Amino acid sequence: MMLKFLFWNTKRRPLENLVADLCRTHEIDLLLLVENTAPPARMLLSLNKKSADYRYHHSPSEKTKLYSRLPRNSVINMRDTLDSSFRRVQLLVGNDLLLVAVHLPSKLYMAPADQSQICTRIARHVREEELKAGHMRTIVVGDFNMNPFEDGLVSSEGFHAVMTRALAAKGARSVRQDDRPFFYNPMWNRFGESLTRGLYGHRPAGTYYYADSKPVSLFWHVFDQVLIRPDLLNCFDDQSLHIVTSAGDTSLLKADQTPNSRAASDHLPIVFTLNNVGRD
Amino acid sequence: MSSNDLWGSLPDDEAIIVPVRLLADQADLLGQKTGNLLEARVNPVSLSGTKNLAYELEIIAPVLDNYSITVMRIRHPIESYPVVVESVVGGNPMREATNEAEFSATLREILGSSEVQRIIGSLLSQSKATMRRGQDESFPR
Repeated sequence: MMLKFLFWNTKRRPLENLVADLCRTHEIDLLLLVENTAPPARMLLSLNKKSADYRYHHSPSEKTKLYSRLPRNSVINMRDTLDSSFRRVQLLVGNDLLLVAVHLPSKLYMAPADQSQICTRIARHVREEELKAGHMRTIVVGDFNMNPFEDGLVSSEGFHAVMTRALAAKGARSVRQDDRPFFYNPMWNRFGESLTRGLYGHRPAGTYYYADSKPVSLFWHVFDQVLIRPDLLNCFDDQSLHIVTSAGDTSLLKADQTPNSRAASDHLPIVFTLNNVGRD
Repeated sequence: MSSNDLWGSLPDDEAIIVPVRLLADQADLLGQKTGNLLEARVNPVSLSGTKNLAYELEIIAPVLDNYSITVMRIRHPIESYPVVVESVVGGNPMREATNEAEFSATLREILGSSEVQRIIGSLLSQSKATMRRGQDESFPR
């Protein structure tokens, strides 16, 4: 079974028509939104304009909203915190997944050291839920408000997300006599502008752009990420991962090729695919 | 067929339209007719002290915090018919259908009843009313 995911921080805006265009274009199965102000009823009417494919999966915390083309009982809420939502995705055939959606505090309100502490906490919750589920078929997706190279993402006590499949395939490493499992973070590969056009148009240098007047400014950031546990590496298709720059006929970029936060959002959406999900 | 196979030719299960399948078809249709603003699902119900099978039809409003209401129940022997149909929300609660055609007619009567239609209308209106909120929500970041 193939599952196509879309994640987007919509900057406190509804954007239901753009979201619906994206879902149609990319044939999305699971749609995760943060900072989305479209009431679910309105989003459903937009998503289901042509046929009633999508349903809304309510969770106690509406911080991350999940819509899907899966049957209603395929998604089970496991745990909600201020920064994360844990859901079990049961497939018609085969093994289920643990889907964790995150929206971590912004650098505007939290120092990097504090952001890392939040990562440590969520990573602990991930391991607790994996123990309960009895498997490690986990993906974490969302707006981390941190780059892939920051401590909270990289540290063995945080998400422990590494930049190559080969490293992640080792499963875990021992840190001061404790085994710490890896995640694979394919977003490392999405830093920097591509000189060739991607499948869905211009490939931007990140998912979020912020220019400030401090001496050190990265300008582009990859705050929106997907992390894959080694047990799902065979299902994850690196080629399917894209930072999306248009929705239907609407460009999500301004003329200077940075995110158009007036017409859409200051973040760009990401899409990716898991293939043969559910197989051992 | 192997000589060890004493089961004979099994019947074609697609040819048998069991009551729960008719109910599940109607559950799917509600989602399609409302753009999934309302959904319905069929839940098995466990009955103690009997070998009968039982199910209930529940309407769910996902955007109203998954509000749900059971509108009808059925129970029947393993042979499928007769089906005892119980309307949970209307008058005339119990009736019996002895075959597929009768069961279909009973479903039409209950699902089209003023009581069920009133519930659907109310849940749809309240679901759509939520579209007016949320424009200025602030999010902790």
